[in-house]
Amino acid sequence: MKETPAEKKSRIRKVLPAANLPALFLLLLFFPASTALPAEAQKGLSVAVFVHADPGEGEASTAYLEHLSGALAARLAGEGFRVLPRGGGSSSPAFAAGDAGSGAAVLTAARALQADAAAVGSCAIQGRRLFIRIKLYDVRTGKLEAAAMEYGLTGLSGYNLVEEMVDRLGPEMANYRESYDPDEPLTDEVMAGLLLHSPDEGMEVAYESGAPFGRVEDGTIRPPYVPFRVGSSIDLIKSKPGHHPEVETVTVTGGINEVNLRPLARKFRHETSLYWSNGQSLGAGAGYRYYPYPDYLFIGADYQFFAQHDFKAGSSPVLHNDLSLAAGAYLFGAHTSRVRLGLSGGLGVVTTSFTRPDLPVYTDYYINYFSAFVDLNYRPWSFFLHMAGRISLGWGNNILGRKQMSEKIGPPVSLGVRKKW
Amino acid sequence: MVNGALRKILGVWAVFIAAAAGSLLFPGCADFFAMSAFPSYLPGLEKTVNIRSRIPWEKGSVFSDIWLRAVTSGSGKRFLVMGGNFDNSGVQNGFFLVFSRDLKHRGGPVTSEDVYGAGNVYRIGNAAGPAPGSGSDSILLAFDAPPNSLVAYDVASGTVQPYADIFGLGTHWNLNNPGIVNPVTGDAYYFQQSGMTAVEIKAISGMAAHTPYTRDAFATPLGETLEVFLGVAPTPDRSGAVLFFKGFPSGKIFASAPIALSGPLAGGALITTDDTPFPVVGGVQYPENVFAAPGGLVVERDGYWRFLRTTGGRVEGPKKEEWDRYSWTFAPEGDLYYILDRESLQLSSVRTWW
Repeated sequence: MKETPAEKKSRIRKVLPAANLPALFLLLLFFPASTALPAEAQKGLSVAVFVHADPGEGEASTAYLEHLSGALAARLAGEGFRVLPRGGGSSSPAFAAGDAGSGAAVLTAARALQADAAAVGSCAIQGRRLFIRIKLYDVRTGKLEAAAMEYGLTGLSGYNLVEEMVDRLGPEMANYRESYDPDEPLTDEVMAGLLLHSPDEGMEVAYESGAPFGRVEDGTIRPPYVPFRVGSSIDLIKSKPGHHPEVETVTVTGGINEVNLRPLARKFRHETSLYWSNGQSLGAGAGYRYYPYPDYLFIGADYQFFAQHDFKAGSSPVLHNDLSLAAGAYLFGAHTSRVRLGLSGGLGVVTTSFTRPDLPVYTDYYINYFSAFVDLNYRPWSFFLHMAGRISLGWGNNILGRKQMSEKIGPPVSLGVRKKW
Repeated sequence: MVNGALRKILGVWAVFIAAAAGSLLFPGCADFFAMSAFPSYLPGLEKTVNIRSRIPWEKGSVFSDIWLRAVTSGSGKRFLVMGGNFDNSGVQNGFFLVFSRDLKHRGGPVTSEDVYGAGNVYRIGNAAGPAPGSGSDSILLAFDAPPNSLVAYDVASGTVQPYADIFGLGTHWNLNNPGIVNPVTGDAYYFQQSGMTAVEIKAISGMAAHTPYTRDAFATPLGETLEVFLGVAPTPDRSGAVLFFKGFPSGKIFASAPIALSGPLAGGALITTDDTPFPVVGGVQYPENVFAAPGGLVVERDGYWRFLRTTGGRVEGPKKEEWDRYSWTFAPEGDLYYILDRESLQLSSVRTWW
């Protein structure tokens, strides 16, 4: 609901201490917060610019305050802020009514102006020395986002000092604007405690930056108490021999946090598979893989048996035995991904027996120059489709000669299931 | 969610399991799933030999036009003749190799240089049986060497003799149809297309004084012309022959009733196989994909071999395999056919599937 000007005025008066009003009013010098602004500065975070002289300075610092106000407004606009126009900032009654030096007064005045941020600058002159302070507040959270203090000689060099200070704060202004989070929690409540449950006995758990704080025993681990703010997220690093380490993020709630951690994924080093290939309907294949780098990099051996037989009188079954070695890796998809893709290559030999004593056993050596496979992963089981590019070498007493070993209905494709352990 | 995914996976598997089961129940389905990288004729393989060392080649030779013919000699012995050309240093020569039907090397190479002398190099023509002189082991070899390309090759002695082309057969690029030998009389006959309406039979051996003898075996059926003469096959007792041709415009294959070869040639009645394995118009790659065989005709269409029985019906055979790589031939007698792997130069005998 939008606040009416009368309501706003009433609220401001309730907030500010009435006793300070006359003194502050006399002390403060008012300057226009901004003049001409770049067009892009009309959007984005709104900022109210306040300036004030320290008590007792009188008109001595007026010129510097005027320059400081203008430099701040220009710099903020240049960094992408929407600087509230003339009529806001130091001329705000709320600011004038409060303790101009305190953050509370600045924030109160800025809230009254519905600004997202507040920049406040002040000047003080002691003898020939000029003191300048600049602060930038986030109005919603009240956090001090940037600040600087400097002193130098009065006179013309004082103007240069003002410019240099404002310029030095530029990166911090930009950083604040870029990292601005309108939903940042306002609460300062912290959790009462953390209790972790896990099926992985002996698993070590650590906070994001630190050594493990303990092992899971009897399904539970109680971390040392750290007063994490409610609503914040903490990363827990879980590790256990024979398992893939994992980072699990927990969002802290109020009270005692009891969290059931996800079980760690085991590192699988062995795999066996069973499959069926096109062009080899009268047969099947089986394979074994060893993973030196668990779940990702493998070497393996495959054996396929298939027969050709036309079931006609006079024909004899032809038996093929295909033994191959391969090395490969899963290149796409983590070990826990539902779909994983990989490549492999290797070599092999197919022996062909005609089950007749007067015909020799033929051997066809081949190179598996490119194999691609896709897994549908349901650890430890997965279903896979495997396509192979093979060239027979034509060595020795062979049948195929040197050729691409493509099936007549396309490349050799195997469909199968594998189990890892 | 997992159950849903499992159901989908099992659904995919069900398709393959059903396909595998279907492949056992239905031969056509089995063909589809059994078309491996290995040749489909392997289940019928009887014997295979490597003939690379038999070929008169020099390093860098290029071979071309390699083919196989199953022929019968004048003595009734059956041979397998492999012919081809080789290009040595840019000069082409034709050559023949002769094998027995069990793939033992029996003769050759006979090159065009052997026959016509050095410098007279000619491309290969064809081979056929029988040769003159009933009872000899001679077979006819034909080079592309006008005016008379025919020579008689005696397998037993390995000698080559000019053959008098009394029928004016000339250069026999199309001496494709194996001759038929009558085992009783020793007469041998050669068949070729004569115009668009008839098949001509010539007796080329055994006839007294080599008297030219020709006749039309049959007339084409009403409304049809003889588009392509497809071949001739002996009857089981080899006393007669059945002729095949493709009719136009029907595209059907027509077969003659068995024609007796003894005595005066008796004309046979025409029968129709009622099978149309070819496109109605054109498309026949004669003669490589059509072979006459006892009891019917071996044809290839859509990549598959079939045996069409003259009594009706067909028997599906193996897949044709890679045409560029293999040469096929079918023995007009017997239950074997032959395949030459032109890449590896492996010669194989395979049991017929019907």
